[in-house]
Amino acid sequence: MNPTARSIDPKTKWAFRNPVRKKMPGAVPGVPVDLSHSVDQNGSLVSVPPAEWLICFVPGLQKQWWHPFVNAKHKHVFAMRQIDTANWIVVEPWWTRVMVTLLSLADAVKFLRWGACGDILRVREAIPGRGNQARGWSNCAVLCSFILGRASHTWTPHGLYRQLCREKDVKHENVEELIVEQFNCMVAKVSADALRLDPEVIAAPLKTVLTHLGRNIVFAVMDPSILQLGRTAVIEAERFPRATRVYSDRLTKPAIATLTRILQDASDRGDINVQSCQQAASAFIAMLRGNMHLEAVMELRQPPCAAEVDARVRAVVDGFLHGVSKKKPSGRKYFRDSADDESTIRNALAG
Amino acid sequence: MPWQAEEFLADLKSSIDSNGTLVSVPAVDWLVCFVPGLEQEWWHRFAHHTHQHVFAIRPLGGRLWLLVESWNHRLSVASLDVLDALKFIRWASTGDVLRAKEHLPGRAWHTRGWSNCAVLTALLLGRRSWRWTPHGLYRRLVNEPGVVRVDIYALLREMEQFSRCTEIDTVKTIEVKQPDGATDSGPRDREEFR
Repeated sequence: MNPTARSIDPKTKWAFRNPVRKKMPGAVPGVPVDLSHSVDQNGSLVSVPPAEWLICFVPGLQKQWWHPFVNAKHKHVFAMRQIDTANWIVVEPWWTRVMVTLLSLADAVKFLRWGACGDILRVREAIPGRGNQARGWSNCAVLCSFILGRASHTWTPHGLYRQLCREKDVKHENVEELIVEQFNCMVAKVSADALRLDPEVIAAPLKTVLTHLGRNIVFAVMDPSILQLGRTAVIEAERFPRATRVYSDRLTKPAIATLTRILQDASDRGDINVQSCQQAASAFIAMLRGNMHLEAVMELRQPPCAAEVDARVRAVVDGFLHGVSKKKPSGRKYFRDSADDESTIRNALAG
Repeated sequence: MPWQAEEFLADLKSSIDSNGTLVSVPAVDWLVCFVPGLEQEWWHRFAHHTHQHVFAIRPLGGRLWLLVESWNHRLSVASLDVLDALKFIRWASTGDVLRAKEHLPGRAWHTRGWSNCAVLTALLLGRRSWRWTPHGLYRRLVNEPGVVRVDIYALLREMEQFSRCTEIDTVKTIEVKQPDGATDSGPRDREEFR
């Protein structure tokens, strides 16, 4: 036996085979010491928890010569994920660039619909990852596996799909469920914020309560992200009716229910005189929204400023209370029709 | 449901733009940061002394920034808070920062062999480049019309000011009203309890 072979200590001589990277000691010249010291164990300045990506395996949108050679449904792959209630990041490798962009929910829904034509997987990225930079051809499948930090030896979207499907924590996603979840999350939050009433507001006179609530409701429905959601709900009503129903149910109905309770209390106290509190609440919401909301949804006008909202709400509350007041001459309708309401508001706003 | 998928696809096909994409997003500016490494690596002696790594970052509006940074074993695409972005901009201040607009539909090439930070940044910007080093990409970009050097210290000052303002706003938002009318902030209360 070779005496040198016996003297080799595998723990020290073959240390470079150890997957844990050996750091060379000493600060890098020119780099602030606090930055060097704040590097985490993965060598990153900021420790970001692993994100969950939706990996969409889709058929092509345009015919390509190589399409007959690949899986019918998995000809392309891109990644997307939500960063807050209204925005998504989309990473889509093109032929000549990689698109990394921020999209609104309405635009993200388009990509999700494309994903619905193939398969969508929810995958958690690996940090620090086990991907390989030297893959030769960095096509969509290679780049997506690199984003996920996966060691992969496949160059096709379908190959990546099969690899990911074998992993335990990877989940298949349903597009309609995803969109409904998005709508639910956004609308429920906005609605809850708008309809929150502090005890001191509830104890105030009806006019103050209605003004406070009315202002909150108008700000909520005129919020740019909710307007965008409204547009999406209209566009996708045929394809994803559940999402549209969520928009309607979670945005308007809680407001009507809250107002109905307030009006019922006022009616029980004898402050107002209405036959149906629910109908009155619906009419109040309709007066608040009026044409202004429709115009904003259709992008015919900008969302109103705070002063405009304030003036409108005051006018609507005055008109509404005038309509439901107890001191009414007998024989008149308690509720005017919508044209009358609009004219009252218009006059009040003009005044 | 295959019929539904077919219907979706036909509808989507009719809505693609001239670049073949579903959503026409205008070309945006990226801050391309050429920096020295944070940790010493054996290959640093063969690279430019301040351009050993490259990453791209851009503001998304509000407090959010978008970071695209190639690691050894993954491509990190992360949204960062302004305070975290500030750390990256401070790192960038040790090297050079260029402001470059991405090309649409781009002229980059997939088959570059080794997709390191310089290659992936060129792909992000849609630039045709034959360089594999951050410094090579820097020289390629710095000579391009429309690409400008960023006054990184002015940007740092602006970001620090912005982060201080938002910090004050946050403190105001979480201010808790005490029963006796005095105000105090939640975190400070928690600190006292601790």
